[in-house]
Amino acid sequence: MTDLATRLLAATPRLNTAALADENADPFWWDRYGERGQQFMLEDGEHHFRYLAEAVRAGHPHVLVRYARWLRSVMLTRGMCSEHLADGLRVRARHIAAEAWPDASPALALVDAAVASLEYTAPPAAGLAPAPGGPAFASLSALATDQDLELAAVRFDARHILSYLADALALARPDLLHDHLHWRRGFEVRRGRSADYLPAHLDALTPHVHADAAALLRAAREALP
Amino acid sequence: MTPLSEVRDRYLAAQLAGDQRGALAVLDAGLAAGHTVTDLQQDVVQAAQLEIGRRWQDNQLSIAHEHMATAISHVALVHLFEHAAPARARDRKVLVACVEGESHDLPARMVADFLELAGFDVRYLGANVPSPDLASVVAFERPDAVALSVTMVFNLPGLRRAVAALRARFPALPILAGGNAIDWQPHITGELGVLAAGNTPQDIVAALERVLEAPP
Repeated sequence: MTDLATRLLAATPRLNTAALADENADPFWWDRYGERGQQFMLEDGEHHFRYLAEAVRAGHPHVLVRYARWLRSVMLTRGMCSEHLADGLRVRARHIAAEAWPDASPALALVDAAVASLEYTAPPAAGLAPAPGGPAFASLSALATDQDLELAAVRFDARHILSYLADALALARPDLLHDHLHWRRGFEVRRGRSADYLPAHLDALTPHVHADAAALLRAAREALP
Repeated sequence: MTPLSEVRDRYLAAQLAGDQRGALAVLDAGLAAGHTVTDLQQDVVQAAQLEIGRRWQDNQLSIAHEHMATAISHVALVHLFEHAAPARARDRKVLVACVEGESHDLPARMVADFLELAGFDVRYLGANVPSPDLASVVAFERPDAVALSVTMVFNLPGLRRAVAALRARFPALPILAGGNAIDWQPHITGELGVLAAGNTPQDIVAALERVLEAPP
């Protein structure tokens, strides 16, 4: 059997195509970026594998972590959030795991390290994710019931909205959140959600984040079209 | 003397306006003000390229703008080279190339110019040199050392192939590797048994001097 890095590179076209199909389960990608976005996603996904292969060869996450943080800076200014990048890394890890290679665990650990490196650890961007079972989760459950949506779908949206919020706080760029929510208002309607879904979602999240984050969410909500 | 940062800003403005003649005029003014060719290569052209990369990263510039600006920098490097007085010839030949897959050739171009001005006899092969062809040129040119440039980490397999192709035919040939990818993955020089070229043209000259002037 060839070494893990070589196998990763050889399997990249197949695994990456499968991963892209999974990513497209989120209608965000086609709605926001269309056909051109698919090409970028395919290319970025290939790069994920290539940097991972280099990290495997090095036996250290440094190069993958540096890549992930660099790529995040590119993605944030083009309308995506940290969780989109983390999702892309996670879905590729799932496809690597599905290969059942006996020596795949170092690669999976390296992806975990890269995903972890995207978490903000310092205020004001840190700690915005709702605690499982906490009051924010209860608010999201109530929202799901009110909107007649699956709770998992509402939590998925919350995870991404909070990621945009964290990115905006980390970069001191409130426009990143404003721009996304401005676009998202139309997106929610296009995909069949009610017109009041996004404002209601923001209302559900606002009481459960710290004061600076809440102020930013309120300002963004007031600016919604 | 006009500070180099100001020269850089003027050069960058001309680049981003697509004004090639204007960019060259800025460099001429810098030379007339007493700045050296090396200063203008590093602190104006290279610094402007880094700023362009930063602005692309921040979505302030498109790829098309980046390419337009980089094309002007290629001309600017030739322009500066024509104004430079080479150092005394060292009677040492160095071959400079980007590895297979690597399309970012401006850093290698700058290194080649710098080595030439430092007195080396340089053969510059440009971007994306296939590894077998690299070995063939080395067989023909018989350089004293080869300097390989890799900007993108995903082209490190190209570096591995280039080193393997050279080692197979020229096991004693000194090989240096430099570029952004080496900064990102510094262990690669140890893995491949090649020399780190460093981050500046002065670094690579020093590395070459060490390897070429070391006693056998």
